[in-house]
Amino acid sequence: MNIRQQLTQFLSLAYVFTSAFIVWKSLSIIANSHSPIVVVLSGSMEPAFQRGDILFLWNRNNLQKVGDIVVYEIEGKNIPIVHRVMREHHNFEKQLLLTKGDNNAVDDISLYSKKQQYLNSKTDLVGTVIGYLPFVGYITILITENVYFKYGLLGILGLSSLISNE
Amino acid sequence: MLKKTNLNSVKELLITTDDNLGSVFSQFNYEESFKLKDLKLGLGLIQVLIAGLLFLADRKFQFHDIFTITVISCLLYGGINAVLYIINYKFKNVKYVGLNKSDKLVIKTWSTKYDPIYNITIIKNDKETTTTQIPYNKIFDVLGLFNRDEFSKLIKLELGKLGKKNE
Repeated sequence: MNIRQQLTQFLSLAYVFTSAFIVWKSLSIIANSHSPIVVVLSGSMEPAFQRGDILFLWNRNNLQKVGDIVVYEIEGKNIPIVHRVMREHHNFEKQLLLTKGDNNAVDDISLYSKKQQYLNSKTDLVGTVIGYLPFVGYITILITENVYFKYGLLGILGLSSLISNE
Repeated sequence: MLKKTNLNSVKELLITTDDNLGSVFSQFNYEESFKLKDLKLGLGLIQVLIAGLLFLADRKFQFHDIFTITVISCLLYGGINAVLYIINYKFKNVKYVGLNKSDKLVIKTWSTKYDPIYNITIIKNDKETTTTQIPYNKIFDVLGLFNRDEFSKLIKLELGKLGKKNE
């Protein structure tokens, strides 16, 4: 096999990954969010959202309204949290938000950083939820939480590539 | 060692036959030109490089710190993708470009999914064209071995037709 054929094979494989990555980054640019699609991992927003729901985010709103469902990240903790805005205060410079999970008894102050009482919508928000697909993201939960499922899926993929003719 | 081809796969038969175009046309004193292939490979490699560098930057920096770089990278990647699309559209099915002292040959080949027929179009100097259909059972034996001599004969016939058109 000559170098051109090897490069062609490499590029056809690389194209799968690079195009998926660029589509993801393009979505990030459009939504102005580093993570424009997230999967709900906990039941804290039930009955609005269940574990495994996929959420689509938009981070170009100037102000969030009370009742909006937002995704935020606290500095030092990289897990995005999906909760509802309960209270907001704003001036021309910034907007402060207090959030709470629909299924939680208390607000999120205990989840925020030490001495932090409000979220800063500019720095802490990943985005506002503008749409969702129920349960589609459950596969990612199964892959990350269930070892048997992960290796079973890899096995099926490997077998299908061996069995298929083309 | 001769390589066996899966006779049940039209795609594999097409690939094996295409792989032999270079050696068959070299018998007729044509030298393969890799300009088109190299252009496509080069653009593809640039795309991989752009995506790879963006991936590294994405791991190292925050999203908002490299926002402009991300936009430029995505636009470049998309632009190159558009160029590749146009090239592939314009040179659809072109598998071989051959040159000798006076002539240029462009060979287009294709097969449909369920018809075991090798369609080949030979374009000489961007003017004369001949198209023929070669059933794969003429150029592969029952074991799946490619019969290069038979294929060369059929190609010679087609090249002869082009010569006659010219007279």
